[in-house]
Parts: sequence; structure tokens; C-alpha cells
Amino acid sequence: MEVDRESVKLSLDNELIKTACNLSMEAHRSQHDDVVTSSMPSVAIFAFKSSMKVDGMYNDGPFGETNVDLQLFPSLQRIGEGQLAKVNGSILHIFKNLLTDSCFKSEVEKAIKEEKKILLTGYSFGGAVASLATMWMLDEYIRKQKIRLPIGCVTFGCPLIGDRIVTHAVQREKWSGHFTHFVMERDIVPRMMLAPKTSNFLKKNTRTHHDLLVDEDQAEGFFENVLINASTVASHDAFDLMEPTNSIKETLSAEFVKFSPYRPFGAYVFCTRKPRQQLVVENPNAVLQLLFYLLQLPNKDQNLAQFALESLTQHLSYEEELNINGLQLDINKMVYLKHLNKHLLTTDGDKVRNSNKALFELTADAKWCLLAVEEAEKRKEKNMDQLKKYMRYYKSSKINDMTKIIEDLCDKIPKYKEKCGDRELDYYEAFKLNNEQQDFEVNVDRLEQAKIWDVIIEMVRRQELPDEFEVWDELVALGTRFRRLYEPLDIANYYRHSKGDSYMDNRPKRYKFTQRWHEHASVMGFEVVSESNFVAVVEDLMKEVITPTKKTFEEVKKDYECIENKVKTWKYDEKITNEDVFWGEFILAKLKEKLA
Amino acid sequence: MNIDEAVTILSTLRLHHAIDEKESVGIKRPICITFGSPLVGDGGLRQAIAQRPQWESSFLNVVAKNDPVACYNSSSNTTFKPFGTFIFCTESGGHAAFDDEHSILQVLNAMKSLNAGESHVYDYTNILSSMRRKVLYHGDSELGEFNLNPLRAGITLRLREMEEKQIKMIRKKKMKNAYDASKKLNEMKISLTYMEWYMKTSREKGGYYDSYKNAIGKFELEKKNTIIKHQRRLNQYWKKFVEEKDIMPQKEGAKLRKRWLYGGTNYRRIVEPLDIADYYKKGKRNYIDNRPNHYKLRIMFSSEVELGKFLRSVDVIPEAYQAISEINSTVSTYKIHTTRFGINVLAFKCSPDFTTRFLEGKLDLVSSEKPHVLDFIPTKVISSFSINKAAVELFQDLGENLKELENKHINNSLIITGSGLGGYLAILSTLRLHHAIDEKESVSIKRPICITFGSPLVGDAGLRQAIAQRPQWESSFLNVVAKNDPVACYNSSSNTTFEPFGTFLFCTELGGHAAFDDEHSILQVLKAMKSLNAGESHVYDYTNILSSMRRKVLYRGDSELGEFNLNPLRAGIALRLREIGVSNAEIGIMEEKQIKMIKDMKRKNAYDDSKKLNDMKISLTYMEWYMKARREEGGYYDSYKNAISKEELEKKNTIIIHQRRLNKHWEKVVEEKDKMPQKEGAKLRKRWLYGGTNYRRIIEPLDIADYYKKGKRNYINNRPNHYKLLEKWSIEDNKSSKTSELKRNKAASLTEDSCFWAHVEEALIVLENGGSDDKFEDYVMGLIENYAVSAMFSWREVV
Repeated sequence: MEVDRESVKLSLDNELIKTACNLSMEAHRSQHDDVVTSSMPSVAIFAFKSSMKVDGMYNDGPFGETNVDLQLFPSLQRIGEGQLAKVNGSILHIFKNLLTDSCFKSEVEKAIKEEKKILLTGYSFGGAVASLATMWMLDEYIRKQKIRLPIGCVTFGCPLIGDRIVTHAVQREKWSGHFTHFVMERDIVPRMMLAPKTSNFLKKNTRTHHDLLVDEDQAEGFFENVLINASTVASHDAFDLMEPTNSIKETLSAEFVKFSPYRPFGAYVFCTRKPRQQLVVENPNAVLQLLFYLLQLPNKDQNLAQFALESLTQHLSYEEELNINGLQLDINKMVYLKHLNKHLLTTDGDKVRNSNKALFELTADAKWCLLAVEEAEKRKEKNMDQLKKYMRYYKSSKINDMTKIIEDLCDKIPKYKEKCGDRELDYYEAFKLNNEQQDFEVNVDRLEQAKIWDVIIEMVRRQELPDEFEVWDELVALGTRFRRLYEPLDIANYYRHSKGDSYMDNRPKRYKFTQRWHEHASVMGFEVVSESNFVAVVEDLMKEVITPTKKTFEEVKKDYECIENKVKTWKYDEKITNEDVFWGEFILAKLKEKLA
Repeated sequence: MNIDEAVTILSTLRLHHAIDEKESVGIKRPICITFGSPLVGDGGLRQAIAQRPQWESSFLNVVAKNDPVACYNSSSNTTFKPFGTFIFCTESGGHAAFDDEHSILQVLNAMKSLNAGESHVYDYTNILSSMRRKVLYHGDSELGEFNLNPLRAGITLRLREMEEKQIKMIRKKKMKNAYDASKKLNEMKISLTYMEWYMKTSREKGGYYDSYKNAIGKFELEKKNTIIKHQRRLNQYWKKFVEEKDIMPQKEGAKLRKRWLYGGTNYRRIVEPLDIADYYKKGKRNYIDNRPNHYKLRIMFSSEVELGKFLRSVDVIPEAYQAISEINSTVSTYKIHTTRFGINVLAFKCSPDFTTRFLEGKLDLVSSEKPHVLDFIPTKVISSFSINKAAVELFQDLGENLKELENKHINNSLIITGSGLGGYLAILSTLRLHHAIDEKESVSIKRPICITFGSPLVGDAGLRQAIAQRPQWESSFLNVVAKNDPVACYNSSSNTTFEPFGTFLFCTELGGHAAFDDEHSILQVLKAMKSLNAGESHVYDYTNILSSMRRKVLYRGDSELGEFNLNPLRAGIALRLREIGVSNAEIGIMEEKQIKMIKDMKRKNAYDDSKKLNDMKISLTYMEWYMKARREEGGYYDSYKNAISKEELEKKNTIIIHQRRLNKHWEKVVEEKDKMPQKEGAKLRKRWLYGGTNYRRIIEPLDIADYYKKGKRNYINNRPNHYKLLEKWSIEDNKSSKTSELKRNKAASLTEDSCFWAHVEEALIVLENGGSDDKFEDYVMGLIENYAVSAMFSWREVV
């Protein structure tokens, strides 16, 4: 059973945020513990600390990013391509130590036993650790162990730690609502990871930010570096959202321009000072733009050094903000992107000015960027709707080639299988011979399917579909059915023409992707050989028997037994619809005979 | 009066257009008065003008009854049509004004017959004064005043008809003037308020969409009925409105447009869901495809605004300039420099003497046919191009060592740069490196990037096209140009044949910057610069301008909401032009170009390629099946050529479609590949060549059959080009690939030589004529020995 996503979100109230903030600061100041826990009757709060020095963030190169551990974070990847997400290496290291060396895991499990809600929190770098811990918990307890456990994560002035694949995965798994990041309007720390490591500021000030012993010059250099680099990232992303016609940016960013891989995820609460207002934004692209644009100096008269210093000190002001203004999360004040743009576009200036000054004061180009974010989102949804058309509805225009749709085509295969039974062949062998009219017709169907699925896969690869597309259950189910019915035909076609190499090296993406979607949805490991393509392995073994090139006879035999066992387990797997799968009895028997 | 006055009309039209472009409501419109001008345009022109009331109302045409020129274009079967208001006058001071085109034509027609044969130029001085004098006197009577006698004859003929027309026009005018626009707008607001309220009240009952779609209770239905009225009204209003806006864009100022667009967006968000509900309730499907036009308001952006911001903040540009500045030399030279990020920069410098010579205007364009040094610039698509002589001379002087240096860095990413005329060297060196990379045929090799600073335009449209044909080449050129650099715009006078390519980043000393990539806009800006820098000829230093551009990132830009109208694309263009202080460019044309580019890009990015590939596979499957099914019946060649039975003909007809489709596809592919060889890596080529060979072997025999069936001879010499090329490439590819195929030991499923049947046909013709063809026998035996003939060809056909 799928865990209801809403039920595992922890809804925050002001009291909880206040406690979390105080505890985060306590953890931050603590000399010893890495985690400070506080147990309330119904909620267990874990506050993380990171006593790391700023240079510590850049252990792995100029931005310090590294691949995630697939074991710990199986969801942090692009599913189809199997492309891993990157997170900050140092933070990952701290988290891994925490998991093995501290009482964190046992405390969590204790809280689960007591059926408590869990809130993870942290200030500054501690917030980064908390975010990572939250993602690990969501994967481990909610997805894997399917525990209905309300989890939340609140951070204060937390730096960015994950790349765009983390952002994509968080959106895809609908985890976004678990994360709330409070950010002071001009706090430099949430932006600092948008810039590479610089020698400018960090040389003298090797201590963490909270006891800033910097003079204005150092602050200015650091601030300038962060802001200019943030601009590169923001304009890079905004450019891509605007349906660009020019490709020089691509050429430049491929080799010549190194910019930060980090992107925001989760909901951001921007707290402004004059007047004290809050702006809640959930769309990660919009957050990125705001991270940059809210940090820009309002005008040329502003003293840069002073502004830079203020930007640094704002990082220390979360407690003050809490005490004066209260860090509250009013769901009714939540600004969704659509509303955001509606605010921006309204002619009624006063209304906006009163509702949010920071927003109103944004520059025209910043507003275009936010508008472009919404438009890009709309385009993705439009593409999704287009696909739904192919997947569900029968289109009856005769001019259009797309008159055959996936399910109709899938339904044809069982009939074909039946007819092949009359010829005393399984459909795989029959198709391979390709002697009858019906074989030819099915071959055309196979190509028609390929036409539809290749487009779908291409759209996924170009990231022109909504993030949650790959976990859309209807698609996963349909893709699985298609894969089980049609992949044997593709294999047969491949070996009919016997192009030399193994099918497994040339397996079409439409089968790779559909298999991985299925494997992710059913929370199982990612495999290469599956119930739909083992026939190709058998074919390769058969070739080895006839003309040995790579394997000895014994090895082939061993491989055969391995396959045979796998087939057995698949056959008894309740989740696999038996009639869809091709079990390859004939070819398996033939191989067995040869090996005997 | 003079016929030249038709010109006045055109000039007025242009002025109107310019005013529209400016989008201001405050600007005063011109008025155009003509005296005795013949009709100038047809019905199309009339309509174009009539659609814009502000335009139409500015035309007044004074026509004298006895002016033969004025009615020259008005014979009864003419296609000329009038527009604007016409005042007809007689020598005695009689006058009458008309403004519906029907009446005007009638009158003119009548005049024509009156003035037949005359052809003098009429003087309007007297007639105008006598018309004025007539004001002083009472008219006789209503009818009497209308004493344009010959006219009246014309009018009485169709008086009724004309009257009706007039009445209709008056009514229409009344309707238009009846404060309708503002009343309507408010009515729509009321309707929208109803809708909003409905939406709100239905919220608790599970959302307005569902409660609308599934309204059952009496109360619910009643409520639904009231809002349906409003829904219809809104739909009608906006449908018309969007249609109008679509036909006549940018008629009103930006502010006005923002107002209605806001309303439109609101309307769309509230009302469209209900239309969807209706649509699906009727059992129809697939709304998105059938979405009414008036909901589709597409927003486009000016992505170059962001590109400019991206470029201003990246390090590579100042790094590149730094590399140039480090060269201390009085002769033209180059140097490799490594940045702190470990990227190599190849920097060029041109000697000051040469620059002086250049600025004296002693170097002009030369055609590409002369200098062989430039043979790395492909001329297959365009036959030739011209390039500035300075570039050729400079490049020649540097010699062959440079080429070696380029090739040494072919596997690393390389920045090639130069300022002023040094940029010419950088451009040519980059082009040569691109060519070398193409030759190497590897996809993994990194492409260089070329950054020039203030280089004048180097080549003509031919060169631009040659580069634009190769997206990977084109996207590697970035030209940074300071507004006050007189050298940069040296080749950009208004009648120049030079054309830009690549991306241009313009910048000003205050840190303003703007990126452009369509050649039209770039030329516009360069020309504006040229006139600004006229007379100057110093060499510009880019150090300061680059740093002030970078510092501008720190501060906020313009935040005026006034700038922010709902057309971000246009606003983006305006913003960019303002940034660099160019005021007199044609924004409208730039916008159109941009829209076209965005649409083209979208079309190019459509998923056609993967669809097409599978489509061709399907067609080939059909062909293969046809071939296979004919095997028992004496081979597909004969049964195709000699199809007689009804069944055979039917089958032939189905595959002919596929045959044609395949032919069309491959002809195009081959042509493209021929023009731009080695675009992709060897592996990719192998894949499509495999498909192409398959195609050639199956389809060409059928083409041969068609050819000989028509009684023609000698196919080999008339063989279509794409077959020839496909075969040539396939042979080349087999030679180059090291894994030569194992010697065949069973018959190929397809005959290797796709011209086999042409040889057969030729041999048959020779035999029929009583000769013998030993050559052919040898040929066939050779094929059989290599197992290259498909088993289906049996000897009996030949003998």
C-alpha cells in the first residue's frame, strides 16, 4: 500500500517553530553534542549542529559537491537516466558520521516506536545537515518501510546543499512540503554556495560566521563575489526558461564558465525588515531568482561595504527576528507562483505595496523572470496533457498517423500470441521467422509503439515534463505492460537481423526507462536483466554455445542456471501479471538441450 | 494638382505606422489632403486602412468635377477602391462630401464618362475659392444645392440603394459611438463579478468546476442558469476582442494593453474551467486540442536580456581581454595564455600600423574565390562569400606555425580572442579550428570559443550564412562591442554589405549592456553607433568598461512598473535598447523577428526527428514485407514491374505510398549530409548509413523497374544522385571501418548491388537485339561468388 503523502507531512505551528528556532541556536552554541534533542509529548525535535569552518564546505573542488550514496538516498536521482544527484560533500560526510557514530538513529527509532511526530531543525550549516537527514528519513522510513510518520524540517539561514537533481527529486516525490527554510531577506549564507570558494574573505576569518571578525573590506569582497556568481546562476536558469533561440550560453557553460550546481528546494520564507513582512515561495526556480534579486543593492547611492556587512550580520539575527516579529508560517499567506505573478501584474499598485513591499520593489527584469518560471511550468503541464491524449484517448482522425494508441496496441499482442499457438510456435519464434502476414502487421504495431514511446522518453530526457511525471502511476503501469508485451518482439527483431553485438548493449531507452520507473515505484533495486529482456541474455548464451568467444562452456552453464532461477522467482511473483510476460519456454528448452 | 500626390498618401501611411509602433496614445496624428489624386489602391488597401479608424479618418481627397486625372482610375470595371473622405466640387462652387466607397465610386465613374478623352492638369485654385465664396450665399434649396448635375444622374439611378447604405453606416457609427466601449467593459466586469461570486460560493461544495458540471438540485440549476448567461456574454465579448487584437496588434499604448490583458487573464482563469466542464459533459474529448483560440494568449520572453546578464557576470570575458592586454608587441602576433582556472587562451594582436592603414579605408572586401588561405570555410551551401581584405592579409602574414599551435590544442577547450583587427585573426583561426574538428569526426572534441573585442564586421551575407548553417560554429562567436568604439562600427555605414554573425554584447561606459543575436538588430545598433562615433578613430581600451559592466550586477535595475507591460518580449527589446542608449531602432521589426525565431526554434525542437525515424522504419517494413511476399511469385522486381492482376495492382498501390515517402525522406537527408559532411561522429553516421543502405537496396530496384517500364534506357547514367552518394558513402565507410565483415558464407537477404536490375535490363535489351553480353555474365558470376546476390534472384529470369 502506498503511504498517503499528506498524512506524513508535519504541519508547523508558531509554537513549534519557536521551539525549533531556540533549540537550533542552542545546538549551534553547544560545545559538545552534534545533535540536541528535545522531546515533547507528541513531537520529537532534533536540532543539528555543525561546527564546520566555512572552507570546510569546499573539500571536493571549487563548489565542494559530490555524488550521493545510492544506498542511503535511493530517490535522489533522475530515475530514467539513473543520473545521481550531487550534494555538498562535507555535509554528506557529517551526516554519515552522525548516522553511524551517534545516538541519532536510535533516538529516531525510539520516537517512531512511541509514535511521535518528528521535527528536524538546524541553524546555518546545522540546517544543511537537518535537510539531508530529513531526505534520508523520507526515503528510509516513509518510502521503504512505509511507516506513517509525520516528518518536518525547519531551517534558519541554511546554505544550499543539493544540485538540480535533488530539487527535481524532492519535487517528484512531493517532499517539498516537508521543508521550510526561513531566510532573512539579505542573509548572505543561503546564497554563499552559489559562488565558488574564494580566497578573498576566508583567509583571515577562518572561524564560522557567528563571531564575525571581519572588516568592511573583507565583507565587501566576499559579498561581491557571492552576488556576481549568484547572478550568473540566476540568469543562466532564467535564460533556459525563456525558450531561448541563442546557444552561445550553452557553449560557454559547457566548458568555459564554472558556476554553482546548487539549487534550492522546499518552501522558502523570506523575512523582510522594512516593513516586517514574510513572503512564502515554493517553486524552486522562483526561489532561486528571489535569492539573487533580493540581495541586490537598491540603488547606486548605497554604500557597498556597509550593505555587505549588513548582509553578513543578518545571518545572526534569526533569534532577534523571532523575538520581535515571530517567525510564523501562516498558510493563508502562502504565495503560490500563480498568485505571485497575479500580484506582480495587477495594476493596483497600492494593494501589492501593502501586501508585500519586497515583491513590489522588484525590478522589471526580476518580474519577467518570475513570469517566465510560471510560463515554463505551464508548458510542462501542456506537454503532459498532450501525452495523456496519447495514453488514454482514441483519436479518430484518419489523416493523423496517431490513430493507434498504446493500450489498443497492447491488446493486440495477446491475440497474436493466441494465433501463434495455432502455428505451434511461441510468438517470439514466430515473429523471428516473420513469415506470415500477421507477423508483418505486428511488426508495424511494434514500430507504432516505438514512435509514441520514443517521443515520451525524449521529452523526459529534455526535462520538458512536470517533475512528477516519472512517478505517475498510470504511466508506470502502462509502461510496464508495454515493456512486457513488446520487448520480446524487439529482441526477436534484433536477433533476426543479428547485427553482431548483444541486444543488451543496444537496448532501446523506451524499455530501459519503463523498467526503471517500475522498479522505482515498487521500491526495489535497479536491475539490468528483467522479466522482459532475459530472452536476450539467453540468445547471447546460445551464440556462445555455437561459437564460443568470451565464455567457457562452464560459465555459460552457470549463467543459464542463474537465468532459470530468476525466471522461476518471476513466475511466482504475484505482482507480475503472468499473461503479459513472455517466459521463453521454447528457447530456454533449446538452450538446456544444447548444454546437456 | 499632380499625380505625385499619391506619394503623399503613402508617406502619411508610413507616418501612421510609425506612430502605432511607438504605442503612445498621446501622439498627434497627421492629416492627408489630396487634390485630384486618382485612386491609388484596391479593395485590400482600402480595408487595411478602414480597419484602423484613426488612420482612415485622416484622409481627405478633394476632387473637381472636371478633373480628368482624378477619375483616371475609375472606369466602371476597375479594381481600384477609394478610402477616406471625398469632397467633390464644381466650378460654380457646388460641393458634396462622401465617405462610403460605393457612392464615391459611382460619382467617380460618372465623372470618368464626362471627362473622357481629356487629359489636362487641373488647377484647383479657382474652384477652391469659389467653393469658399459659396458659403456667403444661401443655397437654393436642399436639392438645389446639390447641383452637381451629372452626378445626380448617377445617383438617382441607384438612389435607393445608396440611401440604404448610408443609413446602415449611420446606424453602425451610432452603435460604435454609443459609449459602447466603456459600457461594455463595465458590463463585462459585472459578468465577471457574477462568475467570481459563483466560484466563491461553490468552493465549499467541492469546487465550482464540479458543481457546475454536475449541477442537479433545483437551486443549483437555477444558479447555473444565471451564470450561463454571463458566461456566454463573456465568451462572446472576449472572442471578438481577441480576434480583433489578433488582426491588429499594438494598436493602443502599452498601458491600455496592460489593462485589457489583465482583464483577459482574469476572464480566462475563471470562465475557461466552465467551458471545459461543458465540453466534457457533452461527451466530447480532448479539450486541449480543440481549445478555443481566444484562450490561447501566449507569452514570449526576450531571453537575450538574461543572456546579457549571464555574459556580464562571467569571468571568461575579462580573462580573455587580460590575455590580449598582456601582449606587448608592435607587430601582429599571437600568444598562448593560461587563466587561473587552467583554460588556455589564444590571444591575437594586430599591429597599430596596420590598424591605421585599415582606418584610412584602403582595404575592401575580396571574394572568397581568390584567397586559397581560406579554403577551410565551407562553400558548399553558398557558392561564395566576400571577406575584408585586411583579414586575409593579416592571416596570411602569420604563417603556418599558427595552424600547428591550433592543432596542438584541438583536444582542450580553447578561448580564441583578439581586439580590434586582432579579432579578425581570432575569427579566422577559430573557423580553421572548427574545420579541423569536423574533419576529425569526433563528437567528444571540445569546441573553441571566440571572443572578439570591438572588431569591425568582417564578411558579407555569404560568410554569415556559411557559418549560420553550422549551429556549433555559430554558437562559438561572441563579439563584445563598446558603444564608443569607433573601430568596431567602422564597417557599418548604412549602405554596407557587411553582415554580422554570432552573438553581440554591446556595452556602455556606465555599465549598460545588451546582448543581441539576430543580424537585423545588430546592424541597427551598429549603424546607430556609427553615426555617433563619426570622425573618431582611436583605439578603445575595454578594461574599464568590462569592470563597470560587472559591477552593475550589484545594483538593482529599473523597477518602474510602467515598463512592465504584458509583453515581456517587446519590453525586453526596449529595455536592451535603452540600456545601451539606442533610441531610434525599429522595435516592431525586431519583435517580429524574435517571434519568428522563437517559433522556428520550437518547430525545430519538436519531436519530429524520433517520430520521423520510426515512420521511415515502418515504411521500410512495408517494403520488406512486399518483397518477401513476392518471393514465391517470381521475385518482387518482376511482380512490381509487370503487375497486372487487380490484387497485384492494389498491393502495388499501397507500397507506392511508402516508396515515395522513403524516396522523399532520403533525398532530403542525402542532400543535407552532402552539403554539410561530418557533422556528427563516426558512430552516428554508421547508424544512419545502415538505414540508408537498406533503403537503397530495397527501393532502388523498384525505381529501376519504373524506369525501364517507361521504355527508357541506360539507367546507370541517369541514376538519381542520392543513390549514387549513398552507395559511395557506404563503400567509403566499409573501407574505413577496421572490423571488416567476415566473408559471407550464406546468401545475403538483399542484393548488394542495388543497380543489379539495371544491368539485367540492359543485358536483356542487348540479347533481344541479337547480341551477346559477356560482360554481364562476368558481372553476375562475380556477384554470386561473393554471395552478394539475394537468393531470390534465380538464373531463369536472366536467360
